[in-house]
Amino acid sequence: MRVSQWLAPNFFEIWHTEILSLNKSYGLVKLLLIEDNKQLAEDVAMFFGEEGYITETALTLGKAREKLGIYHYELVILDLGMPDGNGLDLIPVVQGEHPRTAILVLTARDSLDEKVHALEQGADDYLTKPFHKSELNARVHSILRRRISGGSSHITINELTIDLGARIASVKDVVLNLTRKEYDLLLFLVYNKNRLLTKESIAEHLWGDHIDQADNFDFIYNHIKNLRRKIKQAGGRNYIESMYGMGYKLVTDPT
Amino acid sequence: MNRRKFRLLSKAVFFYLLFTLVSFIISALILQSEANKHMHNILESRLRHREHRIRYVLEHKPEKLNDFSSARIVRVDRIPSGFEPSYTDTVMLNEHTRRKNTYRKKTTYMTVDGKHYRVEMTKEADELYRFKDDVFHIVLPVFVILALAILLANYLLSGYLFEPFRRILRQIDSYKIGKSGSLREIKTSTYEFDRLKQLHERMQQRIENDYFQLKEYTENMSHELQTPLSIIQNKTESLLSMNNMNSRQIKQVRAIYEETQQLSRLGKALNLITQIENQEFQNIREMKTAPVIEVHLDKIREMTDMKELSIRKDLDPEHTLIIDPGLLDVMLRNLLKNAIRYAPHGSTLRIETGDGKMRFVNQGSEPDVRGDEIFDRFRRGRGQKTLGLGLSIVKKICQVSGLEISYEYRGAHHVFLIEKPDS
Repeated sequence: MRVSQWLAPNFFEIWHTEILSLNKSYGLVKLLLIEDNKQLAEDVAMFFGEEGYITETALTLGKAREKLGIYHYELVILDLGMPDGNGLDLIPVVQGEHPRTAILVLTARDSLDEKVHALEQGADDYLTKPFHKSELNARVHSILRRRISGGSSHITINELTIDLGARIASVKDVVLNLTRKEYDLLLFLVYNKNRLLTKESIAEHLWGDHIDQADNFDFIYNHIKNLRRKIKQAGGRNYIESMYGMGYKLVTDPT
Repeated sequence: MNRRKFRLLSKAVFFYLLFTLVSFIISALILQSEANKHMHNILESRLRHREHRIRYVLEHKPEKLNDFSSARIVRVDRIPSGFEPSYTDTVMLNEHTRRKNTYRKKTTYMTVDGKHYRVEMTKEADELYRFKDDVFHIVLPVFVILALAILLANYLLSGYLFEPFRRILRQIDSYKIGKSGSLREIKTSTYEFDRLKQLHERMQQRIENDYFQLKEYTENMSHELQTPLSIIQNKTESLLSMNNMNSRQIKQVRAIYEETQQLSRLGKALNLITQIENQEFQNIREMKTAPVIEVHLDKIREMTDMKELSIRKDLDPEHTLIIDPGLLDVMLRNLLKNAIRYAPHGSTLRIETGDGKMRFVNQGSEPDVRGDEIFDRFRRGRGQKTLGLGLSIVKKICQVSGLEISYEYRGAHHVFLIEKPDS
């Protein structure tokens, strides 16, 4: 990608100041957030800025079209209910002009029809509000991995390596014998490393609609316990910290 | 309450015929009384003529008095005072025809040359009586012919006349809110049907207007809530991630966070109910239940393992439901969640399908509510932190999918049975 493409006249609109602290997994990633709620847009932009993405926001579809006409983005996060129209109408525009750009729909509308329609139109994923930022982050990671790395890539944290293509986690070349849920949990933690994951967001990520009991998170604890044990048995350190009463966090530099 | 119902046209014809019969009878009676009067006048004039002849004979040729075969003349001493001529009708043998005929007999007195006579004259009145009877003999068959003609016309016309009405009824019957099938193309020249059509159209418009407003309101409400909820949720998550809060502050933020989660789940559940009610799940097809149940059981394995629930399946691979797959998923999910929630640790969940029935059985304590109240919204077991919407969603799904769901508490077990109404 040419530098001039992102060192554009509206360079200062770009949210995060640490532009050059690129996301290590995917290189330079530019992200367009189309969301009419300013507060939410700021929050999400801030979040992805911290993740190392260059995030721009458009509060209207008009503004989004303008930006899409000038710049290239790796990912567009699209709200459907925009003040100046239906966000769905933008999907063909993005696909026509930037066929390599991924689209994640982030909307309050959770009708099955709209979801199917959006995915048929070419959206890569569909997430309904209210959402956990950790969930959004995991979805963005998985889209970018598919789009940019062609599905095969590795994430390494110290001695812990995850082969995303083969869905294998290993510690110092010792493959961990993880169940599907444990692998998903580990990946979710790794995608959101050094960030608190509430029990609710973990439960929702792993079981989706199959769980709605806020008062029974014992099985998450079970999975965490097993995961810790398996990493430790393979010679890894305890990366997963319990945050009392709140949730869990995968820390990259455990004490 | 459940009185027998008749067709409008049959009713109308019945009353029409009844009134026609009454008016026929009345006109027959009038005709008869007219005939009576007429008959009386004719007889009277003939009898008077005879009376004149008798008087003439009495005055001029008394010797010919015995020539009158149809009159008896008797000499009397005096005429009873205040006497008026009297008439009686009698049946006598006609000497010529040898048949019994009706005769009118007039009894009167006359005075000729100072002598008083009592005169009885008879005159045959048979024909006139026959005419009188003929009135009924003619009127009644005419009425019967008319009635038959009307019934036949009614039978032949009802199809033609009521065709627009039946089409209007069919349209109204197949009417679904939000799916506007118009009555406009039904043409009718009948005033009442046209009125009905117009009224129904107006009513339909009003209902749809209200319905869409309400729908829009609900949708806007639930959509507009989601974005602020997202912000609150994310902000509280950010707060929780901060390292410099003390445990009391954490507890407070945690409470906000939990309630936000509850609120967001509530919004989603109510939204789902609205979608089901709006029949947005239309991908209806015949679904084999056994593989779907297996997938669900697989997904909840951790939860069942956690409570050490054993699952006893008795699944008929041929058992099917005609239902939208999305709704089947929601239904099974909620039934299983419910069973896991209320089953005691280490008990057994039974899932049985076959013979058109699907049964979910789990052990549990007796519910506070009775029978079908368990499907009411916001009903939940004691001390449960759930929304209390799961079973009402299941019930709603059954309703829109033409299935019957029943609940029973039997022998310390909760039994949910889903079946097709005809089986």
